[in-house]
Amino acid sequence: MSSLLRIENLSVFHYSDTERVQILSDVSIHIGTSEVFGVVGESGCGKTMTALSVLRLLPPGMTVEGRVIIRPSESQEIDLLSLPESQLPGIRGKYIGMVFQEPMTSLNPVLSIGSQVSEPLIYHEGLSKKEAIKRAVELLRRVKIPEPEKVVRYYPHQLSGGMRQRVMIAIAISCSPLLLIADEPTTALDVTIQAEILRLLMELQESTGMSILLITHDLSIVAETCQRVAVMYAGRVVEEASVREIFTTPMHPYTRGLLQSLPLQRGKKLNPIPGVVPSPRELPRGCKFSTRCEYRVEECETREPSLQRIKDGHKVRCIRADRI
Amino acid sequence: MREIILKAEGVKRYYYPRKGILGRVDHVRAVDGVSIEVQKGKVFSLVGESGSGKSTLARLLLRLEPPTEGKIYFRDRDIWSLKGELLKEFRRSVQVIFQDPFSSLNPRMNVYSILSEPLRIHELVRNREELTERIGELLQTVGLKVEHMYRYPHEFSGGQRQRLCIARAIALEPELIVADEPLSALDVSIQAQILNLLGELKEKKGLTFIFVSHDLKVVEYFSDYIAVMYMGKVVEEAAAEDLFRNPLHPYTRMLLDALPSFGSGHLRSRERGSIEITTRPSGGCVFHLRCPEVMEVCRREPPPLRERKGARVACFRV
Repeated sequence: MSSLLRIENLSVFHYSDTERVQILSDVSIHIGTSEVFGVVGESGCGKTMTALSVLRLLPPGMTVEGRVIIRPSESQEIDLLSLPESQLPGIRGKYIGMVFQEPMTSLNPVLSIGSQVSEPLIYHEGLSKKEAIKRAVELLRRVKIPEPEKVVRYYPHQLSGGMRQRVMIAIAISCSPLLLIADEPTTALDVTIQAEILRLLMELQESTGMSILLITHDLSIVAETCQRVAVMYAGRVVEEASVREIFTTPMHPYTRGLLQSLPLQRGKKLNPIPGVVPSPRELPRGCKFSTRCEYRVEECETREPSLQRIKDGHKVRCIRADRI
Repeated sequence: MREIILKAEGVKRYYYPRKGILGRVDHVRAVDGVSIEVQKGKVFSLVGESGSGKSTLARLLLRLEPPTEGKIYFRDRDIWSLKGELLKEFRRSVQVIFQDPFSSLNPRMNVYSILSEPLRIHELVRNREELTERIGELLQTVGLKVEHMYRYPHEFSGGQRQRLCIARAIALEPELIVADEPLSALDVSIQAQILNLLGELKEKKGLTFIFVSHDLKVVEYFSDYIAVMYMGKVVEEAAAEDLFRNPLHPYTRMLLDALPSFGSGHLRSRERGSIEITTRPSGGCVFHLRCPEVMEVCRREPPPLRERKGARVACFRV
């Protein structure tokens, strides 16, 4: 499988007058063509920052190091991080579509659904307004919005959360992107709606062959939808493996801790990870997880482990991975 | 021995957001005729999706707002007939933990004043030394430290704040705690810590819980009894294990099917879910517009909540 997107040694720093804080450190992720790749972790682990870096949408005051390479075709490679600002609109929405968590705030409240869905079509594909609206109706039908002819004239407040998220998906896929980045696309939704949205994403993925980068805090969603997954902690990838491997033989103590935190079996006492995620300003010197790790040895506190390949397709950032 | 600590009988709560020229034209039936019995020492959960009325019901049970119709009894006393000492006693015995540990603590009060307020009002301590000692104990019980006593809420993480809310709730040695989505604002690893803490408190203090949640996995793990709510009505009520092993109501089945579970791959299946419907049908079963097994009778009349295999279900199909 060839890689569609390669995130290589991505580091993000936040500068203020007095300090420099590292938000992401050495994140490397490869996403294959037509692959559904999951990034999981708790709040503040850097999963959203990774996605925003890919789209060059980081908030002001941040600097980025590393490379993010997209391969629209066999012979073409574009480094998104070194691309001049003026060329970015040609990437966003065309090669890469994005769906955010909050369908309430990511749609413009004063524009009709039709004009929001047709905007990228007019911009990227040069359609006339009339043609674009026609395509918008088709797109809304494709994301299973009932009565799309009517809904194009609606405004966001007239739709429920689940319907708004469908509209967001319609916008994201309007120009047939190669990659869809979905950042917690169902977190704000009820379970039955969540299932419908995830099913829709999977159907669209199968019919279009696009790749999906799915960012979530919910391991069970990853288990249901992704082929490979990266677990992030404190701005680092601590483990990367196929979904099957992560759930059957997790190797990083943090991944194990996350899995043992899930209330899967009635009455069985949970074995949660002690303590809390340290703030990026107060990270420990060695392994960033060492302060909460039950397998910690002296070396963990002084030297940060690198992401090591343990076996084919399984990488772990832990010096004791093979002994625990 | 089954000892019923809290009972609701035909409780309704309607809201009238708009008034037309000819009086009330529109009302929201947030809770629409709910009867439940909560056993002492058990965890009774209310589950459902947003808008199902579970939080409104919790507020009614807490006496935070009056029901439009129906009665709620705490230890066989109508909670709206309580006055004076009896009302104070009710307020001591029934405590609450809310979803958002950020907005449910006063940012201008330190931990000491947050925890001393209820103890002082209910005169459970005799002097300052006893108060300080009691607060120290409470902090340790919920896994915080004595030296946290003079800190302010903003100095704590979300999980620690929720521990603080729990400390406040158990300060008065209550019998019943209503916990409305107490884990929803927390990360997975912190959720597990809080869930363990609640479990310990239940065991050690023999507490009764009314647990409101949309997270079925957590509910399955923590509850003894579960009532599934849909549009203000209880559509199914059963012991937790039975409900998950053998869900009877089509809505319960739909909820359980929607759960992503490890490796079942059903989200990849071709099966089409019903498109969401948020409008309330004008008659018949509240669920009939979404129900995959709808019959003629479902459109005409609402199904009564009937006993069935030890559970209670409101469905003509079962």
